[in-house]
Amino acid sequence: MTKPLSVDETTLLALMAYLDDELSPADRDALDVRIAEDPEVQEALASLAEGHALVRDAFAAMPVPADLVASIVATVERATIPPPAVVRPFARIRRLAPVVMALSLPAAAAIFFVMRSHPEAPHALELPQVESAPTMQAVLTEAEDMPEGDESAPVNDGEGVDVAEVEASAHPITVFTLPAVAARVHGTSIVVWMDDDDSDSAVENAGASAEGASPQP
Amino acid sequence: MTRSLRPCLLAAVLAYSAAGTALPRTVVDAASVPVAAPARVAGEVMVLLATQSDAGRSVDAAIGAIPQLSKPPFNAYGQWKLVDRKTVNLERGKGTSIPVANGRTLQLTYSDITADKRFRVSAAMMREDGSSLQKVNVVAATQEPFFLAGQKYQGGTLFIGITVKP
Repeated sequence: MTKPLSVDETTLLALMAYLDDELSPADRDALDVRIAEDPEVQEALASLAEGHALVRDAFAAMPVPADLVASIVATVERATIPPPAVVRPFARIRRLAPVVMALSLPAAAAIFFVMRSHPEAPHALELPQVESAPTMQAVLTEAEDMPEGDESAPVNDGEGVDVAEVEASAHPITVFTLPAVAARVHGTSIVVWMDDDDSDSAVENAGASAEGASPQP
Repeated sequence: MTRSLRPCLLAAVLAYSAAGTALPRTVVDAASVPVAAPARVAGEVMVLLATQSDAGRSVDAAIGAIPQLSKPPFNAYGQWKLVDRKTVNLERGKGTSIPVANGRTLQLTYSDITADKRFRVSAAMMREDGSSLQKVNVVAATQEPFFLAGQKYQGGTLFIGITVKP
């Protein structure tokens, strides 16, 4: 069970900037003092460092979608007052803190399910499952999959075609599988091949010839 | 780590921290989210005639790009011609009959939608007397064709591609 972080969000952001080595020397020195004196800050730093490494590894294996990052950054920047001419990095982080916090949980859910939807990605974060998150995933999936002009039609974004059952009347059947070709569909599709030797069928009437008709599957 | 990733990192860390204590651990897989089955979907039926000869490879331009033609069993044939292509409405639970060039009838029935938004479809090739010659039940993703093949026609073989198009 993960213990909740007990420091305020401003400190959290400062610690993250600290881990990213983006603090000014003065801010870094000040934070070093706090870290040395405050066990809760030490604990938060250790927790963040652990998460930092996990996320870094996860994103190294599967880069964050550019549009997701751009969307979050754009939202943050839209929600803030135009910055003054000179902004110290630490001060800017502090001003953005409420906005970032407001975006945190939805963004976390999005990241969580992007990573869950790519189980092959190594070192994916094993975040605890959140009850509200499937709804988020459903919303994201629908939004990405809907063809233009049709917002109600469900569209698959996954496996191709699977055979559930095959019936034939005394004819040998072969089922071929082949890679799916539709956009955003992976997996396989099928060709159900049945040798056609019905002598009394309309095939003869249609001028069929047995020669060269079968690939001998 | 770039600055632009920081909101994502913060979000992940906060969610990790918060979910460990405050949020319920109920798991609801997306695949279990109910999906309403539409009353009808569209289906495209494309009938291709494949033949073998020494005349070299040729693909009817009307067929368009079909990557499958390079895969077995398609690649056993060199000449491809589009015989028919039509779009039909498939009403849920009702069979739709489509005449095929060789005199038989293809009967398509859409029955349901799965939790992962694929469609349960049966495709049956019916003899002239109405008996079933061949039937396959599949779970098909939209836009992904599947094929019934092997029937003879004009010295070649028919490949009938069926695609669900919601």
